[in-house]
Amino acid sequence: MFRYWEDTAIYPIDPERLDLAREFRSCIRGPHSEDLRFLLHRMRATQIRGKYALVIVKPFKEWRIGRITERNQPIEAVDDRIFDNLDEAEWAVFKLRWKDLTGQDLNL
Amino acid sequence: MTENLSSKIRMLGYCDDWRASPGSTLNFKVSCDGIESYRARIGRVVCADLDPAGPGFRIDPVDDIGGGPLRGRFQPAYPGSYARIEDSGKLLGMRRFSAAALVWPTLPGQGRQTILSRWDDASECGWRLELNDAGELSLRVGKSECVASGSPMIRRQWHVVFASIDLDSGEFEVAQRPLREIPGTVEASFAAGELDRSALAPDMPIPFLIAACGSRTLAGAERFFEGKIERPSVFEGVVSLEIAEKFLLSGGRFIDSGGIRASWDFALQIDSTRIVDVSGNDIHGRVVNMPTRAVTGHNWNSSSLDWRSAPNQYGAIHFHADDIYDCEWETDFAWTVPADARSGYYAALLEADSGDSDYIPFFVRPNPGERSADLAVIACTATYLAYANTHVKVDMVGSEVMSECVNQLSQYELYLHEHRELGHSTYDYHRDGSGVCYSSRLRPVLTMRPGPYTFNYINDTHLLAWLDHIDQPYDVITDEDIDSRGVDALSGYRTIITLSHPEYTSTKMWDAFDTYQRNGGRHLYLGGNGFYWRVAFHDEFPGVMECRKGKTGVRAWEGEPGEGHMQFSGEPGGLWRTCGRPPQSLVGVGYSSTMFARSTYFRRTEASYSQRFAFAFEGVDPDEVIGDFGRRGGGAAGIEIDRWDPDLGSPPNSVVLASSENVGIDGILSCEEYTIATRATDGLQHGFVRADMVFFETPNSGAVFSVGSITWVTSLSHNGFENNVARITENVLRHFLATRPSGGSEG
Ligand SMILES: [Fe+2]
Repeated sequence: MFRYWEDTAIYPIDPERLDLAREFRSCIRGPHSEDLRFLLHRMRATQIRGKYALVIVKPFKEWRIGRITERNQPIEAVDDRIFDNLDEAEWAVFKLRWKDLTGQDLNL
Repeated sequence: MTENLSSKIRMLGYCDDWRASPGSTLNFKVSCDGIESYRARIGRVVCADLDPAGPGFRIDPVDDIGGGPLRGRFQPAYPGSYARIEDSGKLLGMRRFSAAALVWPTLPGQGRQTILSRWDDASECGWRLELNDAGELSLRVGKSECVASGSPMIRRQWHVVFASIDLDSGEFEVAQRPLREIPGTVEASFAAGELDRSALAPDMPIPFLIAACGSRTLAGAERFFEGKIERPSVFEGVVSLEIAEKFLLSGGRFIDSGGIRASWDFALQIDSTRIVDVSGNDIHGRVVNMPTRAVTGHNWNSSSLDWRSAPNQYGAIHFHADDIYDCEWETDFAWTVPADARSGYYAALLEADSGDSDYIPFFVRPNPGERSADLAVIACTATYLAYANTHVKVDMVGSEVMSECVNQLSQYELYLHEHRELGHSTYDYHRDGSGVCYSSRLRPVLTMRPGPYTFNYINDTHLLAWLDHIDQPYDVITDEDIDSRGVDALSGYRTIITLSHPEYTSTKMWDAFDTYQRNGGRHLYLGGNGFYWRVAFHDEFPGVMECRKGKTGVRAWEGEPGEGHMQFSGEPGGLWRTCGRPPQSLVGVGYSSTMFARSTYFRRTEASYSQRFAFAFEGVDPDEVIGDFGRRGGGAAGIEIDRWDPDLGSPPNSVVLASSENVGIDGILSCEEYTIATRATDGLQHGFVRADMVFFETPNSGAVFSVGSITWVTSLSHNGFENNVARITENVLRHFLATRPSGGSEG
């Protein structure tokens, strides 16, 4: 059987490249430089179980960060923050992933 | 302490057929969780998009369901496919017998999974042959159990499994053997024991099930088997593993001791739900919840990829615990479409005092032979079915890389993730990793509800909102009508419009569109990635569509080798392009690329300035870019885009009027568009990554206008519908609706 990728992203994230984090912060929706694209693809290709997602609290207005669980299980909240700006929520997920993948807090 | 973000959805429904017509009655089935009562109204959908910056959510009231508030009740769904032997009576009274089958387990070691059973759960009487929690073969008779310990079955390998029961001697035996010897694994394992004779209940009328065992719950069955089963058989008397195996591997021809009480050959009547006993005793059965048929058996040798030409190599059925065909809920209310009802997209709107609500979509189309307008809008119910209850965001790792932003999950998507019993879409995998190739509308379809999942259904209502804005009358015809009635469903209409993503097309539908166009019909194809997958419907099972994914194309999963032909029709599935009919040959353009993150605009070609096409661009400045706005990605060329290519069948008289520009790295060439992967296949570098707007005439004054982009219709509402996308669409529509149009080539 051909099994679709599950955990194949291998691009290393360099915790020294704060310039890329700054680039993302200043332009969440892109277009982005090639180095930042690689970093984002690495983050976005994390395995599906445990992956972050934005759970809609109020359509078009409010979101919070959840984690995708196993089939049949409710999505889990990551924290209790509620975002009223989609770009802010996207940035918050970026920071969580930076920490997950580099082991370091992202403080700009 | 982790906080669960459970779905708050407490009310869901569907109707017995989402196609209605004046005079017909629809039966609505609703399940409520803790809701005492609710009211129901019927509305005609003008726009189902809640986006405050879109055309504006609007449903025109049509009728109220009278008789006071409706009582809410819970109605469960029971997934899990299996086979039920209808006349299990012919299997009664056996005091000494054996049972055997070939099995290909896909999730051994993940829960008890029954292969064959005659089991009464309430009295714990009967027997069941199953995989235990460790993936070992186990035979349970009443309270006695006999386990072939220490040799779990191997995932995705064929095994012969065997059991014998002797009530006279009080002995039972179980045995298994992988068909291919694998060094380091157990070659064959046996176990025997003393059984509890009272519990076999040879004369109790307990149904015989394959791939599940009886359950005292309303579901009627449980402990579903995941994987393939082939040639289950019941032998008179106690035979050995060797004899049973010889019988199974010889295709059921060889037997040198005892008789055969029943032997089901799944290679017969593959295109049906029937399973046929070939023992001569006619102990036939039926599959429940649509397991996958037309799958390769243990003896498939790749001499044929088509089950029709080598059926004896297709004697297996692939069962899944998460298959579901029909929820079979009871009817809660009905609505008869009034004789004077306008055709259109409709919905039943349910509202409870608690604020809970649901929206059950359906379509009212004219009765055959009746027509209320010159224009028909084709509701692409095949696409709606293909995507029905998709779990891509929560099951597929690549979904976020594709969308290039963190996925948003709505209440409906939370519900689908938690409640797998509502079944999956053809974009999903079963729990065992195999692809989902059937999708049914006899269940709530939560991807057709107002909300953040706007793909297909909601996007399509942008076109309805625009037609309302320009006061253009229309009838709605569904894909399923075209599949069942052929070109007759279309032929009265001067013009048809296909919507944002008419991706799924049966052969009958393709032929109907082609014949319609050649008979002088005029077609505005206002979508992208259209006419892409070949699918099939089935006369016998209403409301379900089959889609097999081949070896190329944007496939959410890839079918197993040898399993590319559809069960329903026998035809090869996969892309129409690989079946010799690229979309270009029907509508002038065919799928080239995705651009999910951002959309772009069109720029006119030199050729478009010819007098022949002047009708299309009236009121548009010659140097205007077209559609540099819109509600999806900010442009009219986006999400999925199609290109013109005479080598792939774009007709010789077809002309590109405009092409997308500035696609850049947001466009990604589709895999069937290259033979060898290179680094140079994004829209910045590769000329195939584009949308083309194309026009051509067809015989008898017919014509086709295609935009080759999903986001065209979601650009219509920009600036209060005053924009060049709306202008061009209206110009072409008016021209096509004129009695004597011309594509100008006559002049
Ligand atoms: Fe699609």
